[in-house]
Amino acid sequence: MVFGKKISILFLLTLLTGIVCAQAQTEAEELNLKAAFIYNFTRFIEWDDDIFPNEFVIGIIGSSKIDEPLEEIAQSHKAGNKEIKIKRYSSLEEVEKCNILFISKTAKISLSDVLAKGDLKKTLVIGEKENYAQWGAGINFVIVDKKLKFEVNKKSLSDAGLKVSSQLLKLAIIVD
Amino acid sequence: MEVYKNISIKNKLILIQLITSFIAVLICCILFVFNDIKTFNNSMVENKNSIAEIVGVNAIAPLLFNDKDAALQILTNLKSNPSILNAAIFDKDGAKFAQYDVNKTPFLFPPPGDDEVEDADFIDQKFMVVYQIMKDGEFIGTVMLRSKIVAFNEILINYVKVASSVLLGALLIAFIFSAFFQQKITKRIQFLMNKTKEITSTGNYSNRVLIKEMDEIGVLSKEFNNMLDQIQKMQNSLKDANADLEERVKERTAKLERSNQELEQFAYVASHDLQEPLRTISNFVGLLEKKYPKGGEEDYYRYFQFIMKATSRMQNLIRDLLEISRVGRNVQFAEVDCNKIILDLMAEMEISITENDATVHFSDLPTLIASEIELKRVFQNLISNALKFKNKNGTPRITIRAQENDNEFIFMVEDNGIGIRPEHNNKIFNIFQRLHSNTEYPGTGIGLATCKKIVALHNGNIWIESTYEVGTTFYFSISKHITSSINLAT
Repeated sequence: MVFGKKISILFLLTLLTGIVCAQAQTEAEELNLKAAFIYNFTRFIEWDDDIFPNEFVIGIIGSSKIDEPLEEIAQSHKAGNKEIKIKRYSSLEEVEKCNILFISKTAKISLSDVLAKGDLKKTLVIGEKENYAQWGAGINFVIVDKKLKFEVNKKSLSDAGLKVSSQLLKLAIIVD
Repeated sequence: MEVYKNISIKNKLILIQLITSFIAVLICCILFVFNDIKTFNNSMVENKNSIAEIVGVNAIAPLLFNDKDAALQILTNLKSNPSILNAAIFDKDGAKFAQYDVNKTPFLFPPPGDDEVEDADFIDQKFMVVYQIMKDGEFIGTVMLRSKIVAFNEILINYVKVASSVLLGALLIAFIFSAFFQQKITKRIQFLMNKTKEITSTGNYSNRVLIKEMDEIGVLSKEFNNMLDQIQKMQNSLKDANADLEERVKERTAKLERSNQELEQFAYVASHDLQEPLRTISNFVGLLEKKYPKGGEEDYYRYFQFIMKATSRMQNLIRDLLEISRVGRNVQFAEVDCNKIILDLMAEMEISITENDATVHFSDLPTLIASEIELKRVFQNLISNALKFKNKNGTPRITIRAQENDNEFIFMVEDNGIGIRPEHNNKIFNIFQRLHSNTEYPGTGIGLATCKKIVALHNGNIWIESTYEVGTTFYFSISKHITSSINLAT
């Protein structure tokens, strides 16, 4: 029954690969969704035009594949009437002024450092780690019942001078 | 239609006005109801469109953030609107994002982009509205609402109720107004009608209709007045002609009466005065006759005989003439027993009755109002006639009878004499009419004329029935209603 064994191994392999692929696929989907969410946030928030007169900058800190879908969106969409620019940063020091700063869960930085940074006083900080909203990030992605949701810290947003649409707040998990 | 023909103009006018207003108001009501239903439908669709828009706007964030729970929550909120049956949100790819069904009756919405769903379908009283959700000019999804037409029937019934009360009210008002305004016309027609009736019943053609308004009724009244003018003129000229005619008849009658009287007077005077010289002639011829007796000189005696006969005939004529002209003079009507008259007569005429070997029968003759002298003369004439015109081979037999009816007595004097040929029946009552020569039957031809005049004096008639050579029956009637004022001239 050597043949039978081989077949079962092959079957197992195939199954495993399937699971891994599926995992990858869901991760990619999640990133796509997050990218779309980030872009959609721009549509429900009143932005301060003083930061950049002609462009809308979305910064990404930490290595994340979210830059790919974001680039895609940036190419086909505008934030209001401004061009969207995606900037990638590997360390906090590199970070300059931007409208949105997305802190990838791979970034090895502390949130408080980010919030303390002077350039980012008017920046919407978006995280994807547990409790980031409670700790001061404006918006934080969470998974509830296998669905992508987001938390909003109203105080952080108002401190940053950002006015958030009630429509958005209705969908958000409000965090103090 | 037969009923309509006979109702008065007044009611016809009211009826016509009622029908007119009914039709007008009915058309208005129908138009208003249709318009209102259309408006109602439009507003209903409008309303659902705005609901769909609100849902759509609220669904923007859930769609963008892929929050189906929030989307469903928005749809579930629609349950406060009882007319909405089903509601669904589709994403930009046309995949169903959320659906809510009232009463748990799911409805399979057609895929978005199907044009058919956009029209409201009022036949099954459900309709669908579709709203395309846009965000910053980008199509992000579709909202579809399926709604029932709320209480459409109730609204319709309500409309019918309102429309019928409006109709009834309008009819009532129209009735009041038309009943009021028709008087303006019908009163005048009735006035004209009453005037006509009045004129026809009284015959007073001097009446005129007062004309206030110169419309058709005014023209009718005017022509009516003109007609009255003409009738009045005609009536007047007729009256004049009539009066003229009457005047002329009166004149003629008077003239006739006068000449008649004169004639009678003349006949009376003439016959009266003629008697005197005749008597003288007769007397002196008598003396001469004695002087020249029979068998004397020449034929004087024969001549005297002729003269005497002629004189005697003339005396008879004059006597009869006097008699006929006396009829009606100083006549006095009184109760007369006819039996007594006949008895008297038979006594007076005894000689000639005996000479002729005649018999006179009479029975149960009435007592009546008449002039005794005149009536006696009638019987005398008739009996004399019967004796005179006796049949040569027999003895005269005279029968006198009488009949009574409501208005008159009819007497019959029957004989078995020579009779009269029928063609002479009418002639014999004419004065001086004689059917025989004087030598055959002597007479004046005045007797029956006198009888006729006397009978006429008694409002009666005289006639005969006769068979030639067999006998004659004289009939005469005496009226029970003799007017004393009867014209004696006739």
